[in-house]
Amino acid sequence: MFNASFCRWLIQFKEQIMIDCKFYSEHLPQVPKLNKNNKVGATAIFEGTVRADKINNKNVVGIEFTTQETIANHIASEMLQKYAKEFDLLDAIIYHRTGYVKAGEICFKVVVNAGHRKEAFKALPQIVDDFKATVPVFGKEILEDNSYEWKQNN
Amino acid sequence: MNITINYFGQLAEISGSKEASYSLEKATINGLFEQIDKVKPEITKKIFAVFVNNKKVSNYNETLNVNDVVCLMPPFAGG
Repeated sequence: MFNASFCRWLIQFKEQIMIDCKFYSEHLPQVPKLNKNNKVGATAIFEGTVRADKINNKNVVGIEFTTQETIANHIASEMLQKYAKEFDLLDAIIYHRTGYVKAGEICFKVVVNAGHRKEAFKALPQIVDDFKATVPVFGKEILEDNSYEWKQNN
Repeated sequence: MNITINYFGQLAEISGSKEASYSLEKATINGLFEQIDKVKPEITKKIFAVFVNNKKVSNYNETLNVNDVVCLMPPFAGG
């Protein structure tokens, strides 16, 4: 029914690395279960949560996130491709919230799939740090009295 | 030359608008900063990154063209 070249294309398509960066104004979805013909031996996940820090003796109740999505997606995708190549990742996915995120809620999720744990463990912190340093996302920390402070990554 | 720029985050707040137009004497990013400084010098102190046509620019002597899309951004806070 299918010729050989179609079957080869289908195999390549199925084995394509999934590189994805998406922004969501609602709760972050579950990352889809990806099966690379049982080649994934390790999945490493990082979830960033909005902390109820104290600023000027007032509790942070949430963060209002904004971004320039076109630029952010472009930078994040290039970055993920670089790490996928360097660490032989089978998938690399970033999800980030926009809009108001309450303290205690997840605002950032990074998932990497690799053949082995060492590659997944090495790649994950580098992707997290690189995202925080290079991807344009802006955050306003809202305090309990409705005042605010602009957040800045270290 | 007139150029329209986009402000983000804290820069939009300081500027009072997400978009602004400036008449440039020197058509470079440094020339743009000089014009912004004449209106609101606190803006340029907070600029962390400049993107022109969706690409990050590190050479602020690079020439700007009238239809360029310029985005000025404050420090990042994602993750």
